Amino acid sequence: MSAALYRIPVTDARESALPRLLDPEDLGRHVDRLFRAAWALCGHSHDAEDLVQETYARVLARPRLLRRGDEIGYLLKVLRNVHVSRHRAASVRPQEVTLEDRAEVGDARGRWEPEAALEVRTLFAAIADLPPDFRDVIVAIDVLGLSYAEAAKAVGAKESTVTTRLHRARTRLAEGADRAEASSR
Amino acid sequence: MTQDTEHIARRIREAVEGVEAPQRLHAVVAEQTARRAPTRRRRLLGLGGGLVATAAAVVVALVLVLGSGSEPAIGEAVALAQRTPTRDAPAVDPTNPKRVEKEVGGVWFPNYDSEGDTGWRPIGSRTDDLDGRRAVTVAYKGAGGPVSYTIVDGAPLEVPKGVPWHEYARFRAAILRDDAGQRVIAWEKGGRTCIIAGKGEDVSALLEAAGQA
Repeated sequence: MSAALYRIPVTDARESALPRLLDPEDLGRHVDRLFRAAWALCGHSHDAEDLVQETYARVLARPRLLRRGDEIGYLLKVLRNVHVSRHRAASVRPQEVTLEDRAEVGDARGRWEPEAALEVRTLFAAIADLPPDFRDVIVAIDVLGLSYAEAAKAVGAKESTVTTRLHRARTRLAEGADRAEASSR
Repeated sequence: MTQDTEHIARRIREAVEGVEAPQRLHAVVAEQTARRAPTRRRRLLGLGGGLVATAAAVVVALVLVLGSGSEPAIGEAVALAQRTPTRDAPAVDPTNPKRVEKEVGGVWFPNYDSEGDTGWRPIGSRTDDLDGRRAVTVAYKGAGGPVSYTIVDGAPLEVPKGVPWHEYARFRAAILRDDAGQRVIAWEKGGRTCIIAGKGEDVSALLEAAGQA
Protein backbone atom coordinates (compact mmCIF):
# COMPACT_ATOMS: atom_id res chain seq x y z
CA MET A 1 0.00 0.00 0.00
CA SER A 2 1.34 3.41 -0.83
CA ALA A 3 2.54 5.65 1.90
CA ALA A 4 0.07 8.21 3.11
CA LEU A 5 1.17 11.71 3.85
CA TYR A 6 -0.08 12.75 7.26
CA ARG A 7 0.14 16.07 8.93
CA ILE A 8 0.05 16.01 12.66
CA PRO A 9 -1.96 19.00 13.66
CA VAL A 10 -0.77 21.74 15.85
CA THR A 11 -1.12 20.28 19.30
CA ASP A 12 -1.56 23.49 21.09
CA ALA A 13 -0.32 24.05 24.59
CA ARG A 14 -2.77 26.89 25.10
CA GLU A 15 -5.55 25.65 27.28
CA SER A 16 -8.18 27.36 25.17
CA ALA A 17 -7.21 25.36 22.11
CA LEU A 18 -7.57 21.96 23.73
CA PRO A 19 -10.91 20.37 24.41
CA ARG A 20 -11.54 20.22 28.13
CA LEU A 21 -14.13 18.71 30.37
CA LEU A 22 -17.13 20.95 30.64
CA ASP A 23 -17.52 22.37 34.11
CA PRO A 24 -21.17 21.99 35.17
CA GLU A 25 -20.82 25.02 37.41
CA ASP A 26 -20.06 27.15 34.33
CA LEU A 27 -23.46 26.34 32.86
CA GLY A 28 -25.68 28.06 35.39
CA ARG A 29 -24.87 31.52 34.04
CA HIS A 30 -26.44 30.71 30.67
CA VAL A 31 -29.96 29.98 31.95
CA ASP A 32 -31.49 33.34 30.95
CA ARG A 33 -30.05 33.32 27.43
CA LEU A 34 -30.99 29.72 26.89
CA PHE A 35 -34.51 30.37 28.14
CA ARG A 36 -34.93 33.16 25.54
CA ALA A 37 -33.65 30.85 22.81
CA ALA A 38 -35.96 28.06 23.96
CA TRP A 39 -38.98 30.37 24.02
CA ALA A 40 -38.22 31.60 20.51
CA LEU A 41 -37.79 28.02 19.30
CA CYS A 42 -41.04 26.66 20.68
CA GLY A 43 -43.18 29.80 21.02
CA HIS A 44 -44.42 29.13 24.55
CA SER A 45 -42.79 30.16 27.81
CA HIS A 46 -43.90 27.10 29.78
CA ASP A 47 -42.63 24.74 27.08
CA ALA A 48 -39.41 26.74 27.06
CA GLU A 49 -38.89 26.01 30.74
CA ASP A 50 -39.26 22.27 30.12
CA LEU A 51 -36.96 22.50 27.13
CA VAL A 52 -34.21 24.24 29.08
CA GLN A 53 -34.52 21.81 31.96
CA GLU A 54 -34.28 18.81 29.64
CA THR A 55 -31.34 20.38 27.82
CA TYR A 56 -29.40 20.77 31.06
CA ALA A 57 -30.30 17.24 32.12
CA ARG A 58 -28.98 15.89 28.84
CA VAL A 59 -25.78 17.93 28.85
CA LEU A 60 -25.07 17.05 32.47
CA ALA A 61 -25.79 13.35 31.99
CA ARG A 62 -22.14 12.64 31.22
CA PRO A 63 -18.79 14.40 30.91
CA ARG A 64 -18.56 16.68 27.87
CA LEU A 65 -15.47 17.83 26.05
CA LEU A 66 -15.57 21.40 24.85
CA ARG A 67 -13.26 24.23 24.03
CA ARG A 68 -13.33 27.20 26.39
CA GLY A 69 -16.00 29.69 25.38
CA ASP A 70 -18.00 27.14 23.40
CA GLU A 71 -20.57 26.48 26.14
CA ILE A 72 -23.44 28.60 24.88
CA GLY A 73 -23.10 27.39 21.28
CA TYR A 74 -23.02 23.82 22.51
CA LEU A 75 -26.04 24.36 24.74
CA LEU A 76 -27.95 25.80 21.77
CA LYS A 77 -27.04 22.78 19.66
CA VAL A 78 -28.38 20.40 22.33
CA LEU A 79 -31.44 22.63 22.93
CA ARG A 80 -32.26 22.51 19.24
CA ASN A 81 -31.89 18.73 19.14
CA VAL A 82 -34.07 18.30 22.22
CA HIS A 83 -36.70 20.55 20.64
CA VAL A 84 -36.64 18.57 17.39
CA SER A 85 -36.89 15.26 19.29
CA ARG A 86 -39.83 16.52 21.33
CA HIS A 87 -41.53 17.90 18.26
CA ARG A 88 -41.11 14.58 16.45
CA ALA A 89 -42.46 12.65 19.43
CA ALA A 90 -45.39 15.03 19.78
CA SER A 91 -46.28 14.74 16.10
CA VAL A 92 -46.94 11.00 16.41
CA ARG A 93 -49.25 11.22 19.38
CA PRO A 94 -52.52 13.05 19.84
CA GLN A 95 -52.02 16.68 20.70
CA GLU A 96 -52.96 17.99 24.08
CA VAL A 97 -54.32 21.50 23.89
CA THR A 98 -54.14 23.36 27.15
CA LEU A 99 -56.35 26.28 27.99
CA GLU A 100 -53.35 28.57 27.70
CA ASP A 101 -52.61 27.24 24.18
CA ARG A 102 -56.17 27.91 23.13
CA ALA A 103 -55.99 31.44 24.38
CA GLU A 104 -52.81 32.04 22.40
CA VAL A 105 -54.13 30.79 19.11
CA GLY A 106 -55.27 33.75 17.12
CA ASP A 107 -54.01 36.41 19.44
CA ALA A 108 -50.32 35.88 19.55
CA ARG A 109 -48.81 33.31 17.26
CA GLY A 110 -47.41 34.62 14.02
CA ARG A 111 -48.20 38.27 14.58
CA TRP A 112 -45.49 40.65 15.59
CA GLU A 113 -45.93 44.34 15.14
CA PRO A 114 -42.53 46.01 15.21
CA GLU A 115 -43.94 49.54 15.11
CA ALA A 116 -46.20 48.91 18.04
CA ALA A 117 -45.00 48.31 21.54
CA LEU A 118 -42.99 45.16 21.34
CA GLU A 119 -44.58 42.32 23.07
CA VAL A 120 -42.10 39.58 23.73
CA ARG A 121 -44.61 36.77 23.71
CA THR A 122 -45.83 37.76 20.26
CA LEU A 123 -42.31 38.19 18.94
CA PHE A 124 -41.21 34.75 20.15
CA ALA A 125 -44.35 33.18 18.73
CA ALA A 126 -43.66 34.80 15.35
CA ILE A 127 -40.08 33.53 15.37
CA ALA A 128 -41.27 30.05 16.34
CA ASP A 129 -43.62 30.09 13.34
CA LEU A 130 -40.77 30.62 10.86
CA PRO A 131 -39.54 27.62 8.86
CA PRO A 132 -37.05 25.71 11.08
CA ASP A 133 -33.93 26.65 9.08
CA PHE A 134 -34.79 30.35 9.27
CA ARG A 135 -35.96 30.16 12.86
CA ASP A 136 -32.76 28.47 14.04
CA VAL A 137 -30.41 31.16 12.69
CA ILE A 138 -32.48 34.04 14.00
CA VAL A 139 -32.54 32.36 17.41
CA ALA A 140 -28.79 31.78 17.32
CA ILE A 141 -27.79 35.26 16.15
CA ASP A 142 -30.48 37.77 17.06
CA VAL A 143 -31.91 36.15 20.20
CA LEU A 144 -28.86 34.40 21.64
CA GLY A 145 -26.24 36.80 20.30
CA LEU A 146 -23.88 34.25 18.75
CA SER A 147 -21.46 35.27 16.02
CA TYR A 148 -22.13 34.02 12.50
CA ALA A 149 -19.32 31.48 12.89
CA GLU A 150 -20.67 30.22 16.21
CA ALA A 151 -24.18 30.06 14.79
CA ALA A 152 -22.96 28.12 11.75
CA LYS A 153 -21.40 25.57 14.06
CA ALA A 154 -24.48 25.33 16.26
CA VAL A 155 -26.93 24.80 13.39
CA GLY A 156 -24.57 22.67 11.28
CA ALA A 157 -24.49 24.93 8.22
CA LYS A 158 -21.94 26.99 6.35
CA GLU A 159 -21.43 30.58 7.40
CA SER A 160 -22.57 31.81 3.97
CA THR A 161 -25.75 29.75 4.32
CA VAL A 162 -26.36 31.22 7.76
CA THR A 163 -26.03 34.75 6.34
CA THR A 164 -28.57 34.04 3.62
CA ARG A 165 -31.01 32.36 5.98
CA LEU A 166 -30.71 35.18 8.49
CA HIS A 167 -31.52 37.78 5.86
CA ARG A 168 -34.56 35.82 4.72
CA ALA A 169 -35.68 35.11 8.26
CA ARG A 170 -35.59 38.77 9.22
CA THR A 171 -37.35 39.73 6.01
CA ARG A 172 -40.12 37.19 6.63
CA LEU A 173 -40.54 38.40 10.16
CA ALA A 174 -40.89 41.99 8.95
CA GLU A 175 -43.31 40.96 6.18
CA GLY A 176 -45.43 39.09 8.72
CA ALA A 177 -45.53 42.19 10.87
CA ASP A 178 -46.54 44.35 7.88
CA ARG A 179 -49.36 41.96 7.01
CA ALA A 180 -50.57 41.94 10.60
CA GLU A 181 -50.48 45.71 10.66
CA ALA A 182 -52.39 45.99 7.38
CA SER A 183 -55.08 43.56 8.51
CA SER A 184 -55.56 45.40 11.79
CA ARG A 185 -56.33 48.71 10.03
CA MET B 1 -26.69 41.25 2.77
CA THR B 2 -27.97 41.38 6.32
CA GLN B 3 -27.15 45.07 6.72
CA ASP B 4 -30.51 46.17 5.33
CA THR B 5 -32.28 44.01 7.90
CA GLU B 6 -30.12 45.14 10.79
CA HIS B 7 -32.93 47.36 12.10
CA ILE B 8 -35.07 44.25 12.57
CA ALA B 9 -32.25 42.55 14.45
CA ARG B 10 -31.87 45.60 16.65
CA ARG B 11 -35.55 45.54 17.57
CA ILE B 12 -35.38 41.85 18.37
CA ARG B 13 -32.36 42.35 20.60
CA GLU B 14 -34.02 45.25 22.39
CA ALA B 15 -37.16 43.20 22.93
CA VAL B 16 -35.48 40.08 24.30
CA GLU B 17 -32.68 41.49 26.39
CA GLY B 18 -34.89 42.02 29.42
CA VAL B 19 -36.37 38.52 29.32
CA GLU B 20 -35.21 36.44 32.24
CA ALA B 21 -35.84 32.83 33.08
CA PRO B 22 -38.31 32.28 35.94
CA GLN B 23 -36.73 31.84 39.34
CA ARG B 24 -38.03 28.28 39.57
CA LEU B 25 -36.04 27.40 36.44
CA HIS B 26 -32.91 28.98 37.89
CA ALA B 27 -33.45 26.91 41.03
CA VAL B 28 -33.93 23.66 39.09
CA VAL B 29 -30.81 24.24 36.97
CA ALA B 30 -28.76 25.19 40.05
CA GLU B 31 -29.79 21.91 41.62
CA GLN B 32 -28.98 19.97 38.44
CA THR B 33 -25.49 21.48 38.12
CA ALA B 34 -24.74 21.12 41.84
CA ARG B 35 -25.69 17.45 41.69
CA ARG B 36 -23.33 16.91 38.80
CA ALA B 37 -20.35 18.87 40.12
CA PRO B 38 -19.11 16.47 42.86
CA THR B 39 -19.10 13.59 40.38
CA ARG B 40 -16.98 15.65 38.07
CA ARG B 41 -14.47 16.40 40.79
CA ARG B 42 -14.10 12.74 41.61
CA ARG B 43 -13.58 11.94 37.98
CA LEU B 44 -10.97 14.63 37.55
CA LEU B 45 -9.08 13.34 40.57
CA GLY B 46 -9.19 9.88 39.06
CA LEU B 47 -7.57 11.10 35.90
CA GLY B 48 -4.18 11.24 37.49
CA GLY B 49 -3.70 14.65 36.01
CA GLY B 50 -4.24 13.33 32.50
CA LEU B 51 -6.20 16.19 31.07
CA VAL B 52 -4.07 18.66 32.95
CA ALA B 53 -1.03 17.03 31.40
CA THR B 54 -2.41 17.60 27.91
CA ALA B 55 -2.55 21.30 28.61
CA ALA B 56 1.18 21.18 29.09
CA ALA B 57 1.75 19.61 25.69
CA VAL B 58 4.33 21.33 23.59
CA VAL B 59 3.28 22.95 20.31
CA VAL B 60 4.30 20.61 17.53
CA ALA B 61 3.58 20.76 13.85
CA LEU B 62 5.10 17.92 11.96
CA VAL B 63 4.68 16.35 8.59
CA LEU B 64 5.31 12.64 8.60
CA VAL B 65 5.37 10.01 5.94
CA LEU B 66 3.52 7.01 7.30
CA GLY B 67 3.00 3.52 6.13
CA SER B 68 6.54 2.78 5.14
CA GLY B 69 6.96 0.05 7.77
CA SER B 70 5.64 -3.48 7.59
CA GLU B 71 2.71 -2.78 9.91
CA PRO B 72 -0.28 -0.89 8.50
CA ALA B 73 -0.58 2.66 9.72
CA ILE B 74 -3.53 4.67 10.93
CA GLY B 75 -3.30 6.79 7.80
CA GLU B 76 -3.90 3.76 5.60
CA ALA B 77 -6.96 2.79 7.61
CA VAL B 78 -8.35 6.31 7.27
CA ALA B 79 -7.70 6.31 3.53
CA LEU B 80 -9.66 3.05 3.20
CA ALA B 81 -12.49 4.44 5.28
CA GLN B 82 -12.98 7.31 2.84
CA ARG B 83 -14.05 4.99 0.05
CA THR B 84 -17.71 4.74 -0.82
CA PRO B 85 -19.67 2.37 1.44
CA THR B 86 -20.42 -0.91 -0.28
CA ARG B 87 -23.12 -2.12 2.07
CA ASP B 88 -26.24 -0.73 3.64
CA ALA B 89 -26.12 0.97 6.99
CA PRO B 90 -26.23 -1.54 9.84
CA ALA B 91 -29.50 -1.68 11.73
CA VAL B 92 -29.83 -0.75 15.37
CA ASP B 93 -29.13 -3.75 17.57
CA PRO B 94 -32.55 -4.81 18.94
CA THR B 95 -30.89 -6.16 22.10
CA ASN B 96 -29.02 -2.92 22.76
CA PRO B 97 -30.22 0.32 21.14
CA LYS B 98 -26.93 2.03 22.00
CA ARG B 99 -25.17 0.10 19.26
CA VAL B 100 -25.71 -1.07 15.69
CA GLU B 101 -25.47 -4.63 14.46
CA LYS B 102 -21.82 -4.58 13.48
CA GLU B 103 -18.68 -5.41 15.45
CA VAL B 104 -15.04 -6.30 15.10
CA GLY B 105 -13.51 -8.65 17.66
CA GLY B 106 -16.25 -7.88 20.17
CA VAL B 107 -15.97 -4.11 19.74
CA TRP B 108 -19.32 -2.78 18.56
CA PHE B 109 -20.11 0.26 16.49
CA PRO B 110 -22.25 2.75 18.40
CA ASN B 111 -25.69 3.98 17.53
CA TYR B 112 -25.10 7.70 17.99
CA ASP B 113 -28.72 8.47 17.38
CA SER B 114 -29.82 6.53 20.46
CA GLU B 115 -29.57 9.52 22.78
CA GLY B 116 -30.52 12.06 20.21
CA ASP B 117 -27.83 14.62 20.89
CA THR B 118 -25.11 13.80 18.36
CA GLY B 119 -27.61 13.07 15.63
CA TRP B 120 -25.12 11.00 13.66
CA ARG B 121 -27.03 8.52 11.53
CA PRO B 122 -25.37 5.43 10.00
CA ILE B 123 -25.59 5.63 6.21
CA GLY B 124 -23.50 2.70 5.01
CA SER B 125 -20.59 0.39 5.72
CA ARG B 126 -17.70 -1.36 4.07
CA THR B 127 -15.14 -4.03 4.95
CA ASP B 128 -11.55 -3.87 3.73
CA ASP B 129 -8.40 -5.88 4.02
CA LEU B 130 -5.61 -3.88 5.59
CA ASP B 131 -2.44 -5.93 5.15
CA GLY B 132 -4.23 -9.09 6.25
CA ARG B 133 -6.33 -7.42 8.94
CA ARG B 134 -10.05 -6.86 8.72
CA ALA B 135 -10.91 -3.16 8.75
CA VAL B 136 -14.63 -2.42 9.05
CA THR B 137 -15.98 1.07 8.54
CA VAL B 138 -19.40 2.45 9.30
CA ALA B 139 -20.11 5.80 7.65
CA TYR B 140 -22.31 8.20 9.59
CA LYS B 141 -23.99 11.36 8.44
CA GLY B 142 -22.95 14.08 10.86
CA ALA B 143 -24.28 17.62 11.15
CA GLY B 144 -21.21 18.99 9.43
CA GLY B 145 -20.73 16.23 6.87
CA PRO B 146 -19.82 12.55 6.66
CA VAL B 147 -17.92 10.87 9.47
CA SER B 148 -16.20 7.53 9.15
CA TYR B 149 -15.73 5.18 12.07
CA THR B 150 -13.31 2.34 11.49
CA ILE B 151 -12.35 -0.58 13.70
CA VAL B 152 -9.21 -2.47 12.70
CA ASP B 153 -8.86 -6.07 13.83
CA GLY B 154 -5.63 -7.44 15.26
CA ALA B 155 -3.06 -5.84 17.51
CA PRO B 156 -3.44 -2.09 18.00
CA LEU B 157 -1.92 0.09 15.29
CA GLU B 158 0.85 2.38 16.33
CA VAL B 159 0.28 6.08 16.19
CA PRO B 160 2.83 8.15 14.27
CA LYS B 161 6.00 8.90 16.15
CA GLY B 162 5.81 12.15 18.06
CA VAL B 163 2.02 12.20 18.36
CA PRO B 164 1.05 12.45 22.03
CA TRP B 165 -1.76 10.53 23.67
CA HIS B 166 -4.30 12.80 25.31
CA GLU B 167 -5.88 11.42 28.46
CA TYR B 168 -9.61 11.91 28.94
CA ALA B 169 -12.04 10.65 31.50
CA ARG B 170 -12.77 7.31 29.87
CA PHE B 171 -10.03 6.78 27.33
CA ARG B 172 -6.88 8.14 25.78
CA ALA B 173 -6.81 9.38 22.22
CA ALA B 174 -4.39 10.53 19.58
CA ILE B 175 -5.52 13.58 17.63
CA LEU B 176 -4.31 13.90 14.06
CA ARG B 177 -5.15 15.61 10.84
CA ASP B 178 -4.74 14.16 7.38
CA ASP B 179 -3.54 15.97 4.32
CA ALA B 180 -7.14 16.44 3.15
CA GLY B 181 -7.88 18.48 6.27
CA GLN B 182 -9.83 15.75 8.03
CA ARG B 183 -9.65 15.57 11.76
CA VAL B 184 -8.77 12.09 12.94
CA ILE B 185 -9.16 10.61 16.41
CA ALA B 186 -7.55 7.24 17.14
CA TRP B 187 -7.90 5.23 20.32
CA GLU B 188 -7.85 1.65 21.51
CA LYS B 189 -10.79 -0.35 22.73
CA GLY B 190 -10.89 -4.03 23.54
CA GLY B 191 -7.42 -4.41 22.06
CA ARG B 192 -8.56 -3.05 18.68
CA THR B 193 -7.81 0.25 17.02
CA CYS B 194 -10.76 2.57 16.59
CA ILE B 195 -10.54 5.58 14.31
CA ILE B 196 -13.04 8.37 13.75
CA ALA B 197 -12.40 10.82 10.92
CA GLY B 198 -14.45 13.72 9.63
CA LYS B 199 -13.89 17.08 8.06
CA GLY B 200 -17.09 18.83 9.05
CA GLU B 201 -17.02 18.02 12.76
CA ASP B 202 -14.70 19.72 15.21
CA VAL B 203 -12.26 17.88 17.44
CA SER B 204 -14.51 18.19 20.49
CA ALA B 205 -17.40 16.50 18.72
CA LEU B 206 -15.19 13.69 17.46
CA LEU B 207 -13.61 13.19 20.87
CA GLU B 208 -17.00 13.10 22.49
CA ALA B 209 -18.16 10.52 19.97
CA ALA B 210 -15.05 8.47 20.67
CA GLY B 211 -15.70 8.69 24.40
CA GLN B 212 -19.25 7.45 23.94
CA ALA B 213 -18.25 4.47 21.85
